[in-house]
Amino acid sequence: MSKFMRLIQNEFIKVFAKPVAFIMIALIPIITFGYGFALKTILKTENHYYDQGMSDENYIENYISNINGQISSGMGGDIQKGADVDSLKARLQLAKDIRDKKINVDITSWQMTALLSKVDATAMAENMKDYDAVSAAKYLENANAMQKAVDNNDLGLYLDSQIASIDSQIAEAEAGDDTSYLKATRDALVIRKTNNIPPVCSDIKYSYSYGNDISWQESMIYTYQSTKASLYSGKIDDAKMTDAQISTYKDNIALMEYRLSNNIPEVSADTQFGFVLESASLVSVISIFVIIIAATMMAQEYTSGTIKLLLISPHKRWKIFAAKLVSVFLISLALLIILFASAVLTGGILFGFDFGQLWLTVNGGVVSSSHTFVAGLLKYLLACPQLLVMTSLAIMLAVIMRHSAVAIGVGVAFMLGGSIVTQILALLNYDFKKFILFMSTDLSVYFPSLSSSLAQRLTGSSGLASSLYKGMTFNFSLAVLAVYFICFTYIALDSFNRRDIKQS
Amino acid sequence: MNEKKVVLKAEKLNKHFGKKHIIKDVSFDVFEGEIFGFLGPNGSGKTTTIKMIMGLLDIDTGFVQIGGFDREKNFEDSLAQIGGIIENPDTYSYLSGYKNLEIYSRLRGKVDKTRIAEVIKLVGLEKRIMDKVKTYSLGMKQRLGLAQAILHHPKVLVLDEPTNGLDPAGIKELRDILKYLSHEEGIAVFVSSHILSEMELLCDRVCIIDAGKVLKTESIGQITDSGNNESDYEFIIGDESVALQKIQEIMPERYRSNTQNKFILAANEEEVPEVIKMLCSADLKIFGVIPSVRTLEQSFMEITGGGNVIV
Repeated sequence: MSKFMRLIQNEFIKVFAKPVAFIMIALIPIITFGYGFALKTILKTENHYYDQGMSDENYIENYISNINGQISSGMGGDIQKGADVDSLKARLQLAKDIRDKKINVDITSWQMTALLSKVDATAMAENMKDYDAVSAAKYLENANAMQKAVDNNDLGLYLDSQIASIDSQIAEAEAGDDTSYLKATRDALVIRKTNNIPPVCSDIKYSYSYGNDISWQESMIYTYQSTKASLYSGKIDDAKMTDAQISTYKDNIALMEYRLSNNIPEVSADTQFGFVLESASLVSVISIFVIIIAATMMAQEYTSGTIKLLLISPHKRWKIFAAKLVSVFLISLALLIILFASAVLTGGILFGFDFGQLWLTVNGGVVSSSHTFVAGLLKYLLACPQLLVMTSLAIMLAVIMRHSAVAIGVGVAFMLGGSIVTQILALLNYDFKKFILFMSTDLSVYFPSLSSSLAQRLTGSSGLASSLYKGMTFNFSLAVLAVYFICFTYIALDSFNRRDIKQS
Repeated sequence: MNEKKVVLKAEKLNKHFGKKHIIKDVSFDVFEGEIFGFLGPNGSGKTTTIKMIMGLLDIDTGFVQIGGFDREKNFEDSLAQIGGIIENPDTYSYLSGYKNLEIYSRLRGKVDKTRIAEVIKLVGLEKRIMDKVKTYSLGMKQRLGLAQAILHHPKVLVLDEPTNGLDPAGIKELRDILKYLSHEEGIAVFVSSHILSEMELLCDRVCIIDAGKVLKTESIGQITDSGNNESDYEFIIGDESVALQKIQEIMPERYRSNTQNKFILAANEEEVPEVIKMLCSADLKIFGVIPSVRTLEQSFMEITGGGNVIV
């Protein structure tokens, strides 16, 4: 064993005798910091993308003219669902009252929604009182409740009457009607009541529900509602839900309920370890470094002729090969650790140090809590199999090409080309795509709790739930990586063993 | 005559490159403590044979034994007995000479600092050993290569054209080192070269190879011997036309050849004074008498049929 360790020691001495190694080590924190800086800038601009910068008065004026337009064109309009002319007129009056400062209310608050509901309900009651007194009374009761809630600043009262309204809608629904949306809305209201989260009004300031202007709880409740709706209907976008999807959605529900009741926001990329999770995509940079190191470690022996002296030393050829493979892998691990440390440091410097940030995971509907530090470690740990495969690939190229520059060129081209080809093939619906190497290199996709929300927000994909990974599991990807590793190593060793060193 | 151990044995080595049969039944034995020369024209297969011995080329048929170990069956043990320089000294140019020696020492076991210091002294690189090898001249690189090759006390030292690029001082130095290693430390030295004059001075035995076949394997003494019991002596005699005539009269059986005033006459060492007397009696003027030895070059040309031009 010590003989083998000496071979590895030799390899390390050779690598670190050259400036390339130190340049790479220095580049990692530089690249990480650059990435962090770029991310921070993107997040800043994303915040108020939708905000048109208008004042509240402007929004009210806009609203008034919109309603006037709808009234004169005699149509219900698409801003107010199902409103009729009386309702529109009532709303118009309300808006004017607000504009004229007769009523004092924040146009994005729940009170605003309550007032809008009140005037709607009052208008309905007026219409119906002649031919359906019972319903009219109900609407009036509702309107009074709304006003009382606003007067007493009683969110609970408001939500209760919303819930009651939905309950009666569900009761009135005919068999065969899809009540999943109603049920989901009801559940969302219950959550709001339990955790005292008032809804926002986006009727008048319609940009208000976008971007980062609203609280994380608010956007989470929207997600909660649509998740519940899918579960109730059993469908996602008209497609029947698979068992895996149902299980995932149920887990997400449990997770959201836990977060809302314990006030634990999702890990966003603008936190220290949110950034660490985000930066795991920089592992591909390390892969390129690995290719360069393997090329210099292996191919250069051939070009400089020193391979001869290695091969006439009293070691079986496979041991010499193994020493190089192990050395390259160890160095790649070291680079990974440096990347992790850089990310932790960069995240802390750019977004503030927070080692206590909580990280939630859910399994079978049960939520457990840990720290994001652990999440970061796990995500980087999951990058190790990928590095091993890249190591074997790089060595294989170096042994076959026997020329550093060519090996590096081909290796980098393979990596870049591979990602592009994978993305193209992923769009096409071929079944064999799950065997492509680059589909399986990112093992963290199988752990949704490790993905950072920024990626989802920007690409709009939901990772595992998307059809990209249909039919693939963690074990499957691990097996795919293992097979690639074995193949690359076998080819490399076979070529290495070919004795004929015809020219130095 | 001592029973000397065979430390390097090649037995009926054959090698094909594609369809071409380039090494044909090459066999030789190298004894411990001797300097064994491997001579041949360009392209005769010297480097190929060396690579086969060292394990850098596959052997089609035949075997190689190093220090008694079969190179196929006991790969690691056999290679531990041998060291060498093939084509060019292989060093890591971005490291210092000393670091190179450390690396090679580590390749063959623990780093032995005493031994490293020893070999540095032996090859005379003390002053420059800490400099990066890329600053070395070719001669220095050769010396470093030699140091590397003997670090682990091998039984056999294999050198492929070691005098390439060395200046005369360097060549003499190398010769002295090799003679020291073989005769004092008992290392068998296997040297391939083109430079016949140097090989003549260096080797104990030589093997002549041409077109992949071994033509002759003999000691230096034997190969430069004309094959007669008698030696030849070269007499520098004045007045050649008269001398030629007189010699033909007095001692026609001794006459071999002459180039102008240099006459080659067959005579034993004991007979020389007698011959001088006879020539003097014939009124011939003698300006010099030296033993005439066949050079290696002459024998070589004869054996190989004088095929290729040799440097």
